[in-house]
Amino acid sequence: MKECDEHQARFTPYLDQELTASDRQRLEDHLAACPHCAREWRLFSLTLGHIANLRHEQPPSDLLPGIQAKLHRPAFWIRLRDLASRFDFSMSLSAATATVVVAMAAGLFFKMHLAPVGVPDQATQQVIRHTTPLIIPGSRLTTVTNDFRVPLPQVMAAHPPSAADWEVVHPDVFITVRAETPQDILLLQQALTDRHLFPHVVSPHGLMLRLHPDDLPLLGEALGNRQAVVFPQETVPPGGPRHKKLLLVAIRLQ
Amino acid sequence: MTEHDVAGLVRALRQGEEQAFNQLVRIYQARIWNLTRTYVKDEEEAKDLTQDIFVTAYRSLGHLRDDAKFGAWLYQLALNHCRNRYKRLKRRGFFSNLSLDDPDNPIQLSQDDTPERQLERRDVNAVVRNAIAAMPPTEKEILLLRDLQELSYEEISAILDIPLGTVKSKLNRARLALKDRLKKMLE
Repeated sequence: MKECDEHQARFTPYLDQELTASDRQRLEDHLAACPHCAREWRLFSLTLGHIANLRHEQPPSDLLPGIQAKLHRPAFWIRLRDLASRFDFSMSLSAATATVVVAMAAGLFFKMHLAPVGVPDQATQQVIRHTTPLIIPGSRLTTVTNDFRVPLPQVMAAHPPSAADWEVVHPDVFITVRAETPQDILLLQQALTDRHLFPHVVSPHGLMLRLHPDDLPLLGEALGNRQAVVFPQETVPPGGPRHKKLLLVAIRLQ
Repeated sequence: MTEHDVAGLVRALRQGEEQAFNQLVRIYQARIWNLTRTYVKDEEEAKDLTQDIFVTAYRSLGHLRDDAKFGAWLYQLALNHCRNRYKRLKRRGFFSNLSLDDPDNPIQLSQDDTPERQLERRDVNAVVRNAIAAMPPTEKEILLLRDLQELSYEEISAILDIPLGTVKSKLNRARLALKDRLKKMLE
């Protein structure tokens, strides 16, 4: 059978008269002796004849007028249609089902295994309209001016095992301080305690403390020359949140 | 019509002679029609496809570097169109009913060339076309370019950008594969 396959692989070179005289003779001898290959050769020839019959079919008579009509159609529509034809959004039922199942499984996985992230929604965003420096006039603190929508800072107490234990704190004043080294948090804590301001939460990324509005200048002194951005809430009036007895201040280092 | 004549028409078209384009269409329309008709097997699709090919050729003529190679360039363009259309139709299940056992295509070969015989030949052509349409793309294209379009091996090698030896070996494989597909009808 392997010999038959080898001979059949030479059918086309045989037709093209590309075989050497000896190879040609071998093939012809084989076809004369092997009924299987003789039959395959007959079918092979018939197949070529049937393909040749396809050549005689004439194109439709309205082909050229159709081309002219398409040529005179606005090119934009042709391009738009061609563009649309490149994108085929159809899919089989099994593919669609598989997509839905995978999406549902992924959703379930995220819900069960990943802790929720405090994404601020519209309600937790505040519009800042202050133009007056809030803490110390003349200090190097940068205040946010004009209408500027920013997510309200949310400070997580810890990373508890379940979402129910998450604690979201909305500080009255949120300060982002540029940190040069990891030791900056300790230096800032020291600067605060030197001024009798005692943070009740200290983490590698920031700290929180409660202070009287009158002590805001001390906070400014503790920050010193550090570059910082202050995000007060809308409820904090220009000139200082003096209506509150104690302010919750969150300082984040980044 | 020689390559030289075709090149002259292409030059004339570049200079704005619209009639030259009509002449080029008349020269190539039967060949491109046969190619698309066999590639996608459906007459209406083939007609639309053939028209799109010529429209694209007209609009993309600036990309043709050698006017004398218009024929080979047109075949490349046509095959690209055919491949894209075939993929799109296949995704839509257009070819899912391709079968040589289709009861709607009874094959009865006879020897006389009567009107009935012509009708039967059309049925045979439909089966042959279906069998070719269902072949793998490269084998199908080599088969169409050689046995339907009667191009030389060198031309096929240039159009498909594959080595000459590969063209020859794949052609034989394609012919054998088509013979096996049509065996039921041929015997």
